[in-house]
Amino acid sequence: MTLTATRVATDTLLTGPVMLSPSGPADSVTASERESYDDHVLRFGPRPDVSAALLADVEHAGLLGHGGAFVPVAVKWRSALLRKGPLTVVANAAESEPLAGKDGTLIRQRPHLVLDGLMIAAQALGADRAIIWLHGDDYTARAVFEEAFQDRGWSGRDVPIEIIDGPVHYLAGEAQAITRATSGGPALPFPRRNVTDPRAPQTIVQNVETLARLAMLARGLPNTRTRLLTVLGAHRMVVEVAQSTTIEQVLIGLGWKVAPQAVLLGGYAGIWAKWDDIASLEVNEKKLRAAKLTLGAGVMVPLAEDACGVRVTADLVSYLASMSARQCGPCLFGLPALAEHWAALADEDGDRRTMDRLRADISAIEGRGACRHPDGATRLSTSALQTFSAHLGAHVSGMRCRHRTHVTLPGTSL
Amino acid sequence: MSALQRIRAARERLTGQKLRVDPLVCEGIGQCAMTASRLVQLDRWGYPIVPTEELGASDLGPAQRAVNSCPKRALWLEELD
Repeated sequence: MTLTATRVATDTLLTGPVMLSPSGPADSVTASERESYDDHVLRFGPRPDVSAALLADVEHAGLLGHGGAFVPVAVKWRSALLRKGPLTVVANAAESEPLAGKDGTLIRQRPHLVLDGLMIAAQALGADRAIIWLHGDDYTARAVFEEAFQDRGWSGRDVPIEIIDGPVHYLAGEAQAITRATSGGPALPFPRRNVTDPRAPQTIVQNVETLARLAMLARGLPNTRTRLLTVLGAHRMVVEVAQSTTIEQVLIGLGWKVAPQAVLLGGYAGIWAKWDDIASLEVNEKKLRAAKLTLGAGVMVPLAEDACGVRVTADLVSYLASMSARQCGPCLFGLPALAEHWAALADEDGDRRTMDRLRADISAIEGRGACRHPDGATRLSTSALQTFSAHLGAHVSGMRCRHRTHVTLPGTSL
Repeated sequence: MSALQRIRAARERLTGQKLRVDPLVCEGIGQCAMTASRLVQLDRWGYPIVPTEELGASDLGPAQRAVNSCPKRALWLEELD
C-alpha cells in the first residue's frame, strides 16, 4: 500500500492539475501521477457487476455526456436497450478540439477508472464489442492502456477491449464518424437517419470522462461535483474545479492578475463572450446553458485586453474551414466564404456590406451539413459579431485597429 | 369558424412528412429546385435549401417530384415520428 492511494479523495477524477504542451496530445510537461491497478482497486473497490437496471441510476443521477454536447446518457442507453441488433460501445478518447486536454489527462492519470466505465457500460447494455477509440498520434494514450491491460492480467485473446487508432483529424472524434469507422467505413461524419430495422447493428459512443463518471456512479460515489477544464493562458493547463467555481475564480486560481476582454468558451468551434458578461458565472453547464452559453468540452481561452478579437476569429474560422471533411456543399463552399469575409474584416479591407454578406452566409449555411461542423463555424462567427461589435465598427469605418499585439492560437496560423 | 377550428383545419392539411436532403450525396445539380421552385431554393453555391418544417398537403406533390427528379437520389421524404 502506498500513501498516495488513500490521500486523494474519491470524488475527484484527476490526481492533480497538469501543464500541457500548447497543442496536440495531452502529454504533460509537469509531473503527472498515474494510478496503478492496485491503487485504483484500493481507492474505489472492485468493479461492481451491473445489469440493465443501472439505467435507472444513470437517469436519476442525471449523468450527461462530457464530450461537449451534453446528451443525457440515459437517452442513448434507452434507445440501445430497445433495439435487438448487435451493439458496440465505444470509449471516445479522440478529443479533437485542438486545445482540449482533459480527456487525455484523465486517461493518463486514471486509466483504470475509464476502463471500469467502459466495462460497466458494455455489461449494462449487453454489448458485443467494447472499443477504445484514439487519435492515431496519441502514442502515450495507447501505451497507457496497453500497460493497464497488463496490470489487469489481460493478455492475448482474453483482452475484452479493442484499441483502435483513428486518423489524426479534427472530425475523427465525431460520434457518427466513429460509428462509421468501427463498422468498416471511413472515419467521416454521416447524416443521422431514422433506423427502422430493430435488428440493425448499433454503436454507442461515450466520451471517456463520461465513462469515468459512470464508474463512480455505479459504485454509489458522487460523480457530478466537479468539472474538468482546459485553459489556455501563458500555458495550457488542465484543472479540476468544483461546479460552483466561477469563471473569474478559475482564472484567478491559475494566476491571472489582469481581466481579459473576452473569453472563447468551448474551444475553436466555441463561442466568444465578453468578460463582464461571464466573469461571475459558474462553470456548471446547466447554469451556463440557461444563459445560452456552453463550455462544450471544457475549453477556455481568455483574450487579453490588447489583442484583436477580429483577427483571432479570422484565424479560427479559417482553421475550421480547413478542417472540413469536404463532403457537403454548404460546408465545403460555405466555410471558406465565411473565412474570406472574416479575413477582409481583419485586414480592414471590408466595410458594412462585408458584414451583411457574412451574416447572409451564416444563415445560409446553418444546419445544412451532415454533421455539426459548419454549425460550429456559424456559431463562432455570430458570437464574434456580437462580442466584438464595437471593435468591428472601427475595422469597417477606416479607423485603424488599435490592438497591436498579434495573438496566434496554436495550430491556426496557416 | 372558431380559432380552434381554424387551427384544426390547418393541422389537417399537414402530411406528417418532411422533405430531406443528404448533403453527402448531393452534388448541387439543381434539378430539384427547377422541378419544385416554390419548395426548394438554391444557395449561392448551387446546393438546395429544403424546408425544415412538416410539408403541407399542397406541397406533397411538388416534393415527390423533386425527390424523383434527383439524378443522385439525394432527396427523400421522411415520415415524422
